[in-house]
Amino acid sequence: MDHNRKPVIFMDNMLTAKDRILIQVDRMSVSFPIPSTKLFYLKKQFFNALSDVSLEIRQGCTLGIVGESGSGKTTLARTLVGLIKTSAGNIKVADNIIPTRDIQFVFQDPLAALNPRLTVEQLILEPLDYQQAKIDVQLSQQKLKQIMQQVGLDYSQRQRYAHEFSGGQCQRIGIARAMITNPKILICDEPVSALDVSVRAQVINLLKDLQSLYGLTLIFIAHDLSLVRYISDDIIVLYQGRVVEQGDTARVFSHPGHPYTKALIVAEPRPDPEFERQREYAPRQSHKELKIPELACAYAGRCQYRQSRCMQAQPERIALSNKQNVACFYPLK
Amino acid sequence: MQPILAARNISVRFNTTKGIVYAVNEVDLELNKGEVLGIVGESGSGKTQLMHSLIKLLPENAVLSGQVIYEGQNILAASAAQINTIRSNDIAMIFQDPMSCLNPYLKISAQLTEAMLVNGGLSKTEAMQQAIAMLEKVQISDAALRIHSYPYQLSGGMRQRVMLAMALLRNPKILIADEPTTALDVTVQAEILQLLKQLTAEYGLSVLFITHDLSIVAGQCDRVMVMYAGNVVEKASVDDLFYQPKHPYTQGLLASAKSQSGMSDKLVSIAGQAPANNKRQTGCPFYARCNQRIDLCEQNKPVLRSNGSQSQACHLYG
Repeated sequence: MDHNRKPVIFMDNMLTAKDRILIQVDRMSVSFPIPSTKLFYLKKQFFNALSDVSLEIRQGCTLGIVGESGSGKTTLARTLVGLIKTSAGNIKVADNIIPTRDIQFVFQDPLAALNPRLTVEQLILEPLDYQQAKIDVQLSQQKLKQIMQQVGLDYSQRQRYAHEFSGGQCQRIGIARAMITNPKILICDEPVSALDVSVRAQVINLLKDLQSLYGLTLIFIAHDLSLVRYISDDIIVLYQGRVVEQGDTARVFSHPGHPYTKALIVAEPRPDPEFERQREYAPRQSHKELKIPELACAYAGRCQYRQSRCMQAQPERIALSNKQNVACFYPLK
Repeated sequence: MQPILAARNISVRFNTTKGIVYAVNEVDLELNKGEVLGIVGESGSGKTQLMHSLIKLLPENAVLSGQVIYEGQNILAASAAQINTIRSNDIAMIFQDPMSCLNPYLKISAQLTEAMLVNGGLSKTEAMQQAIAMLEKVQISDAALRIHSYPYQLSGGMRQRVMLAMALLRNPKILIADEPTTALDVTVQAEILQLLKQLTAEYGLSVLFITHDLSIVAGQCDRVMVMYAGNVVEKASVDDLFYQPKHPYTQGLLASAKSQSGMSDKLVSIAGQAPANNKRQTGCPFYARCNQRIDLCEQNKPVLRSNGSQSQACHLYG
């Protein structure tokens, strides 16, 4: 393995590089057995964490995955690296991708993800120990210096422990640790949610810089839309384990097709008192009294545009344009 | 007008094994009757410690100085019993994470009625009736059934509604809300914020709203205090703060918040990071990150100066 990999430059296939699909997911479902509470209840029940998910991850691009807590976004990311088994459908991975080697994670809470007993140097170099080839001390120090510099850490602080750093710096350590093995795909699971507002952009911009330097493919998971719009080329909106909308980020933001996507955009507070004073609140949909049949659209209970058809079947994915898909019977115009 | 709650010269220090931590430095605060005062700051800015000091909820190693005047009385000098009465009857709080504030072993019925039974002198049936009525008020459907749930059976948004109901049941005069929606999904957050706004108006509450998110302040507050590294750096009405921010930190924070809401093309941040709070500040605490600093700022800590309704602690404004 080449440990001094130069930044990838797609000289000969510059134009086609972005069309190259690294991971293709086709109608994939993931379900978990629900532990039975009854002793002799033999029929096993399942919780569908992901249902019928299809997506493509293109080389050098950023895919944003957005959804509320429990929508399945982390399950999706973990399934892509093979940490969770699929129960239906399949995941095709390009020949040159070995998931355990070429896909790395950056986690939400940097302090929780870093071993408190290891120094920064040990933390960043640790992933190399699990790679096949061992490298000598001199080379690893060289790599360490390079990566610490790239993520904006001071090499002279390599003997310190994670708790001595601020949240933003810990996330930089987390990113350095992920990047040390030269991954092709970086999965960032809410990498800035735990950080202060004024330092979030520093980390996002760092990820963008690393992406252009190494031709990295990014999967960016978030619970709201606020930062996704800056980093993602494509976006996927998950609701209760289903992809409700999918497409080009700019397009989805300017013309959301699914009522849920629109609700997410509208619900976001804005730092503008005048705008907030004009805000109109959507009537609260109380779905508790309403009996939603099992085969209904997953969002029917909360949807303010619900019609009778929505209660009878799960909507299939339809294309609004070549840049946007939506799973809704009555997509918004 | 006499403020309903006023704090004078509040400082909070912690004696730790690694030395003194300066959490809050000489902060003044006035909460007027019926207003919502926002306290904005990032982690470590001292906003939560300030709030805890107002009703003396600090841990044992904290050294608190200053005065908190409520109804002509200095709360900080009051006896434990007096403070408990104030906490129970006058000043209610809701917190960021409702799950860690609700007792997982008790049904919410027991937790909602506890204060009424202990301090309110109500019978169990009366207390239950009031609790159910209040759950309806915070828009929990099937309140009569749900009151028998345990906290784990409720969603995050529901739990926050229960917390709010618990706070309002004693008919307080002041509500302290510490990041009440930070742990919630954005659509649920919108619902809770709307509910809070509606109920505080209905009950004529004076609210201290603590948050790290300027966007929430825009929609919820009448006046705002911005904190940085234990200091108040700017105080203004919500419109002044958002449309003519004075302090460079407020300007930077607002630019970051705006860019994250898609109101600008580029994602903005403030370079650097907040200073460690284990030293007594001699210069301006924002000096290292400030893009408008002058020589004076390094050695001379600016005090809060007011020009009309807006005040800021910055040498740029004389």
